[in-house]
Amino acid sequence: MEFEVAVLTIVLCGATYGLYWLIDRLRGPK
Amino acid sequence: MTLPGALQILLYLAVLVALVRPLGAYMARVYQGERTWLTPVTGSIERLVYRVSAVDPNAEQTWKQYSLAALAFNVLGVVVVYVLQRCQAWLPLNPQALANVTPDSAFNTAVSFATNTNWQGYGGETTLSYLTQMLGLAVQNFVSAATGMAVLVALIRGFVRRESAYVGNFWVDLTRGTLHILLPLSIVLAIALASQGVVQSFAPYRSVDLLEPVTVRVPVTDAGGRAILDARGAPVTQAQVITQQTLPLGPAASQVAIKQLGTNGGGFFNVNSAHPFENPTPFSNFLEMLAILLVPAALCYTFGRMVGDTRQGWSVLAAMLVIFVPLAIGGYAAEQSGNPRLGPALVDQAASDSHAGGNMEGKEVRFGIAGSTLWASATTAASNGSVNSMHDSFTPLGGAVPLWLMQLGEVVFGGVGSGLYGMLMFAIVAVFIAGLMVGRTPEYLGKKIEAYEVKMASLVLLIPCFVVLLGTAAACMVPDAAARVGNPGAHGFSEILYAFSSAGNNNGSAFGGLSANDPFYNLALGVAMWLSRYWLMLPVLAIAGSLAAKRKVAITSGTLPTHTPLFVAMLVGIVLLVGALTFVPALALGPVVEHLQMVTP
Repeated sequence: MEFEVAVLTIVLCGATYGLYWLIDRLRGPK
Repeated sequence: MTLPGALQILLYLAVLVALVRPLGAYMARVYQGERTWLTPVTGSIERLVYRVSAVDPNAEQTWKQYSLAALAFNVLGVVVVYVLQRCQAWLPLNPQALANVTPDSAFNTAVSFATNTNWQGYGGETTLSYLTQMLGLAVQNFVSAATGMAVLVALIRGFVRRESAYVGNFWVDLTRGTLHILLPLSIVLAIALASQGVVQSFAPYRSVDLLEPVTVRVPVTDAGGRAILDARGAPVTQAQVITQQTLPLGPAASQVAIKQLGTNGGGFFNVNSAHPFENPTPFSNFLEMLAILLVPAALCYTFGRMVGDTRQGWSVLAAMLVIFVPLAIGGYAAEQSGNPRLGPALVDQAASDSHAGGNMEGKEVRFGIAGSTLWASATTAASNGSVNSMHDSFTPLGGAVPLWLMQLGEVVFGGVGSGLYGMLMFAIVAVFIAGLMVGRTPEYLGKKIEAYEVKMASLVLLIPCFVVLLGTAAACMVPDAAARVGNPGAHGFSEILYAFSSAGNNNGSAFGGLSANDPFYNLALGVAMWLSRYWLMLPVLAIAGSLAAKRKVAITSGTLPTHTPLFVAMLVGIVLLVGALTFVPALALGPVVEHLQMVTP
């Protein structure tokens, strides 16, 4: 279970960073 | 409703509103870097923190730097709390020699406390050492609350600043919120609570003789610890005489204070503020209840002060009260009217001098109906989640009130910081819809609201709805997860819906009845808490960055005033409409069906 928890945490961090990247891209060129 | 009950609610609201202005003004001074009467004490500690952590308090951050700092700090918090739980058996301050927490439960608790949710799949006194409670949970109670307030302040700066690339410094906002606001308030409240009998001790649990021994029947087990069944498949039981009781202790007062003030809600003991060592008297109940809404309500005034027009803050507070007061009174009325099914059983549910009447199942006699239902409304309106009664035992409509208050997105007061920034997202949508009606580019507080802001605000509104409904549906479809409800039928569905509404809106209260300490719920609710905290924080900070970069537009005759009753009505309408359109179908399957089953002969 320790391994699953670690993978899940990394996936969540990655997905959150993905959203951050997407939000920044949505602003378009300034 | 009874007169004492109505007076309790009135007194509560009066004291709350009276404290909004002084505390709100103080918090505005703190976040604007002005001198306060506490500066001589806390100022030197603040400078020491910056020196030790190598933070330049004058360095400003863009919204992206601010977001990354907040996220990195929170992820670190999750890791620290997780490791503490997994290692607590080998660490000090564990007088009961409690074992290390299982990985799935430790993950759930770590995410829960870092996200300011404080959903508890574990029982405090049977699972966590004093060190884990203090160093892990209490620290997160402070910093997760301060994180929410920091994000709000960054958003407010977005409205205030003109053509700026910066929204503040996360480390400075975090430190100021903790040192100047949460810590002093917590010290005062902790002392007041300890004076009422809330325990504060490092001593081991104490065993005491019962005044009257109790005989209970316990299952007979075989050598492998399995229950022995009789010919009909029922467990074989034997009589056992109980002569002693274990009294749990611990540093509870200090943790209860911040759990209430920081809208955290995670109880030191398993039954939270229903426990006599956590909430012993009606006065401690009043103080703890006041602490739930105090900071979120006062932040409305802080917002008004910081944007230079306190009417803006009062109008947002008015919108919150317009939603909160009728729901709180409705919940109270539902519980006071009791359960009609108990009438034929000759149960006296009428209020009298000798008892509170109504539905007292799951409620403490020392708090009564009003003290329990007002708490239930406050704790779910704010994203606090502490309980002093078991919401699972409420009447269907009485239970629907806390459920729907959470589903409104935790914007009716909401979490410290997060509630107000959520409400400001609704305000952005409200001015956008008003702009569509009259054909003008919407403005809010002198900033043009354009497509990017509306997209981000929509994300903030929709992500929790998505998380709650999808999580509930998944739990209903997984047989093992659905089987963990305490009751079949509509009430069981309410238990699952409540769990995901609580986690998916960072509330943390439990309906009860659902056995949620298993890998499915620990992981699924952990994911729900994570998404509803960090996936909302990012778009809010993006809006802050976008607004800060804009020019201020002049107020003209065509500008929609956002401090008027008309705007308050629009804001309330949008919050209620989004909440109703999203969740009424689900509520119809749970509390509505259950209510009809109860009243139908």
